[in-house]
Amino acid sequence: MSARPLPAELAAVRALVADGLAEIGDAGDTGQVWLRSATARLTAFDQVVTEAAGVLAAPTRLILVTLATFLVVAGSAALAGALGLGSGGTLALSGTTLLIMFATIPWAGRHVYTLTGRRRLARAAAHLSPRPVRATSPEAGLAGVPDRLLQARVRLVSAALRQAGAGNWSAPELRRAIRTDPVVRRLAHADQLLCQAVDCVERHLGDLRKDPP
Amino acid sequence: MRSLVREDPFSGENRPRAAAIDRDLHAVITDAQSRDWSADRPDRVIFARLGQARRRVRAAAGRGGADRRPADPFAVLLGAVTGLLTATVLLLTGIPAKMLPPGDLPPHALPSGNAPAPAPPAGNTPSPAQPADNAPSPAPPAGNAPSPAQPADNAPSPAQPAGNAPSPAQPAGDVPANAMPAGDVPAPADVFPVTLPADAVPVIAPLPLALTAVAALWTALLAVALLRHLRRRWDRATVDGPAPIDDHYRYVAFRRRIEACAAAARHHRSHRRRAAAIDLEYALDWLAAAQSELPRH
Repeated sequence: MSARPLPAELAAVRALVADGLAEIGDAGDTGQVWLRSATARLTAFDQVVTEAAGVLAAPTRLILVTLATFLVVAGSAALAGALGLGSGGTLALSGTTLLIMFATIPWAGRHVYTLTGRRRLARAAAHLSPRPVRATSPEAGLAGVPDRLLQARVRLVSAALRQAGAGNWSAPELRRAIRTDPVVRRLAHADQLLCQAVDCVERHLGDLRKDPP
Repeated sequence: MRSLVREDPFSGENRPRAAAIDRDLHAVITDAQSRDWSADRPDRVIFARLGQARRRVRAAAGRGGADRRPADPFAVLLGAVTGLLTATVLLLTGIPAKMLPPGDLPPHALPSGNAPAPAPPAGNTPSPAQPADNAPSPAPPAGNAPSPAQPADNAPSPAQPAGNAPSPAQPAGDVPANAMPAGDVPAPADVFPVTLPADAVPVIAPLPLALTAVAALWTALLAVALLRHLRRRWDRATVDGPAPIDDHYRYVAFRRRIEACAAAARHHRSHRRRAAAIDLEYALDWLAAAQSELPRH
């Protein structure tokens, strides 16, 4: 039972995934289509997890949006006054500026979340207990990668469930959380990418088993 | 060359669009993932493969990057409508302007004290008011207090309400009012001179307008929070049916729609649309790979 905050948990998940990625790179078959696909999925996973770790808390978001609205509307109204527009012109100018601001919020949010997530993950990784050097089973090699990634997935999903709240763990409530909650949505996307990477590595291993090189 | 493949008459669209396929795939994937998380129907392979298919379909639809669609379109619509209604009501009644005591405002926001302001709202007053506009500037206390007995204030006072709200005699103020976008805050220009008392703070001054916007924003967020609360209650009451990911017919429908989309794209004039057909064929491969993991009956 660990009640660690989300960035620490995500930093641990990232460390596990980085180990898996390094083992895929050590296997050397970078020309293989499945391994290349898995590497691409894991790279995208890293970005999504960074963004999920950086999502600001709801009160902070509320304050920021309120402040931005106030400043944008007051500024555009003052500008309209300076330009000498009438009341209709003032309303049109401030409304248009407000619409533009709301349209740029998702774009700006992605960048801000990536920045804060990078900082939070770095801080959490500094406090992380030093992990044992990987390759615990040297004979495993590529064959151990799916297990390692699935281990990371267990931690990721439990972090997502904790984020969704203990009260709503039934399937419809989780579906709603995946659709609406900003953190759970990104964690669900990351989980999907992780599953795709595991699937790709398993298909590569299945091909190897069918016709050994 | 519209469709080489006979389209499914029950798929609900006569020309399948990649964006619609993407949306339906997303619904199926989210459902499967929530069932996997709640250990209702544990499975990690099929939804991952459907996710790959969805990625290809998205690439074909030309939205390969991040998910730009709003996460919850209905909530966004509800918030926009609530915010617009609140803003309209506040603007028509002028409540934020009445709540502000006139002494707290900078003098240029007052109807008659435009002289010391660096950005006077009445800069477009007609030319007869211009010499009178400069007159009160050496005497700021006279400009702040609207007293009809003073000769310097008598000249601009009939011009001020016309400067704040566009009147037919003022061509500069009427042009932006006609060029307003359709989805914007409705501002009937002839309402404000009626509802605005002569000695009140104008609704259009920066501070009351910003307060109106913030109040509209908070009402919208409140409405969205209420919707979320209601939805949570409804979610507790819903009973889940069978998982759509187990439905073989759904895979068949998806295959037909993607095939029809690819057939329409394969003979398109634009080479970009023809390249989308390749993405759709990859999506078909992933769809078949997902279906092969289903338990056979």
